[in-house]
Amino acid sequence: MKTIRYFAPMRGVVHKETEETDLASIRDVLDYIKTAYGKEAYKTAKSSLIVVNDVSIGLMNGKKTALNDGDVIGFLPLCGGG
Amino acid sequence: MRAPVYAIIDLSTGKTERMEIGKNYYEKYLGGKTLATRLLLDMTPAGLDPLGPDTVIVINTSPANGTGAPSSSRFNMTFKNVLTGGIATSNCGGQFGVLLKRAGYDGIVLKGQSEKPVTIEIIDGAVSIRDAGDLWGKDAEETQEAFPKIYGKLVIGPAGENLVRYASAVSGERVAGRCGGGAALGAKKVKAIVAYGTRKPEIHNKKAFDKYVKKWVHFLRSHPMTGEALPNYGSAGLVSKANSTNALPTHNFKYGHSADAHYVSGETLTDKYLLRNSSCISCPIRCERRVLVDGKDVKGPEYETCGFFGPNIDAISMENMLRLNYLCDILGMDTISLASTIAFAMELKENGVADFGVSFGDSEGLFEVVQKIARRDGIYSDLANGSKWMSEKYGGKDYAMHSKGLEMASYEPRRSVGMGLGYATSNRGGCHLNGGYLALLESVGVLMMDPLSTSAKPALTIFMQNALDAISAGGFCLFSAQSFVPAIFFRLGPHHPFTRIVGKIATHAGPLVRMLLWMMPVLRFNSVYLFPHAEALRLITGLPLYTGSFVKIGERGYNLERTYNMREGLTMADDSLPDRLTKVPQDPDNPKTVVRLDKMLPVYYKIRGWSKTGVPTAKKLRKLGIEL
Repeated sequence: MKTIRYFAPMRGVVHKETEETDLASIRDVLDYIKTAYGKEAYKTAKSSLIVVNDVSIGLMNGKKTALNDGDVIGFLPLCGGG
Repeated sequence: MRAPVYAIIDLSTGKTERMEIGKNYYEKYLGGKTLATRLLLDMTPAGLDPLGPDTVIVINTSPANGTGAPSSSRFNMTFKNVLTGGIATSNCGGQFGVLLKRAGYDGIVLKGQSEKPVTIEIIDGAVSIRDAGDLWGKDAEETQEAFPKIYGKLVIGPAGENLVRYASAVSGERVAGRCGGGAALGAKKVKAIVAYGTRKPEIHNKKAFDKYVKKWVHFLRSHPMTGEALPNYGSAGLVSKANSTNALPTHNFKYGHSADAHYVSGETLTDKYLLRNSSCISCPIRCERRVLVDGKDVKGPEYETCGFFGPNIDAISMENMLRLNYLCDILGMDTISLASTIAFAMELKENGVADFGVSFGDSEGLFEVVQKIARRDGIYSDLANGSKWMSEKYGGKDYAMHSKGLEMASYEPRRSVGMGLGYATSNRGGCHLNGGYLALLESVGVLMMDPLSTSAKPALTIFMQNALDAISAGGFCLFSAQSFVPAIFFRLGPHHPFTRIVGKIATHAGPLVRMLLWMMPVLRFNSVYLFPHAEALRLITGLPLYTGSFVKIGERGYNLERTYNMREGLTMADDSLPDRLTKVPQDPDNPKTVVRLDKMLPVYYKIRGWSKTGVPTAKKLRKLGIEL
């Protein structure tokens, strides 16, 4: 089992903080979000910073990143500062 | 533009003189840090003790301060850097600058040294020096409470009085944190400077300016970075992003990723601790966090504090971090240098070299330690001298995380090698902002260049260093420049193919950026999308400020600061980083995860037009109109 954690702005669209899933890749998770929560949620999810166990999928296989049991997938806001 | 007026205050004699800045200076150097560095060069000989009686502190404003332009309340302190011996510029968003200007002065210059603690009062053009014996020993909050609320205040806490080398100067709840400005004031026995007045700032073309400000504010509010991300999460929002790219200093920069970063992240801060957001004067971005500490409504932490009192010391308590942040603010100490020095002390203990009673993972025990450092109690006086001094006494130079003596900010440069070059070349020492802040384009922004490639990094670092210096010289907060990455990339997100392709192209944009640097004199346009500051300053001052000439002011300032450093004995050997960053790969399996300064520095010097040993040449200075 894997855990999806939603942060703002995703949280405001899916109206939950976490959920459990058995999906196999980030692409599957994005497809699931589109089916379960609609196009707006999918669009927001795609533009989020997506991390697996706190590491950006940009450092892994992008949307093809495979998921393993116990993984935590995060949809984080893009932030700034310095 | 009228000539800026400065008060020259001699603390040894108690006398004050009025000085008008000449046209040749304000046209070339504008104000803030750039003009202040020019004055410091003129007014002091080389080789002074930063805490000695002959040194000078320039505290000044910029043309935009007090005009109502967005994010324009920042005033500047320039002095001889207490930690590095080179230039120190430190700016602050408190009310002091705006009220100093309303009181009739664009800046003050502090000379000499008082024998006893004093307060300097600047009220409607009149300067008086009063005894501050009753305030000495009070913290920064208590000290400010001793004055009317309507005054602008700049004070020091116990750390400044005790000459802690990274003591800060405090204005309201904002601090001029870096380089030891609090100690510089403490050495002169200046406990507080207060200002009040009602003079309105002059604006050359008020009607056009007001119209432009509306346009600019609308742009900032509609941009995803300045209108959504910063107001919602503050700079603390960067913790998760830096952690996700292995760029979050962890365990004294030994690693770049922490499994526990979420405990002190911006998201956790917003979800569980945030009362509301707030702002400096005339800032539409409103990045400030308001939190409760022991039942009191106080300013929350910035990203650097979250990182340094969190993963960099392996600590996971948000409550402790909030309290430590508040404690540092009222004692008057820079959280970056303090927490980095503590991390160094923790590693000394881990390696069995010295024991200061601090251990990785324990932030609970730091409350007493921090107070002892501020008081310079016993062995804690060593920690009050910073990590460079400590490493010279105890060893461990390869993991004392500073450059030139100033502790680095919370970006792990082995995953952001351009930021590494920036740290090494930054005039004030290991500062991300003075260093050009390439981390924003390499590891913590939406648009990501290859963070390990050295390609294009020297040219981009130079461009960003110049641009950020120009924005500071104008009196603006650097966050107002975070809207320069087009909104489309935020809408698409960092993982979108288009965003990734543009990041890849940027990695190879070195020649283009070099051409851009060369073309500055012909860039006679202004755009709200690039550097809106230039147009605002043109309308305020009436000076011919356009994108190119505006960035040129930054270049002039950068070269001037470098010239000051050279005069004070710094050399290219000081453009360095600890061995941990240049010789030990962050990822043992990836030899590219080191900062290749050897590769980038020669290119950087060449593009800057400096000699092979990093000295600004006479030809370069002449071209920039700098006379020595």
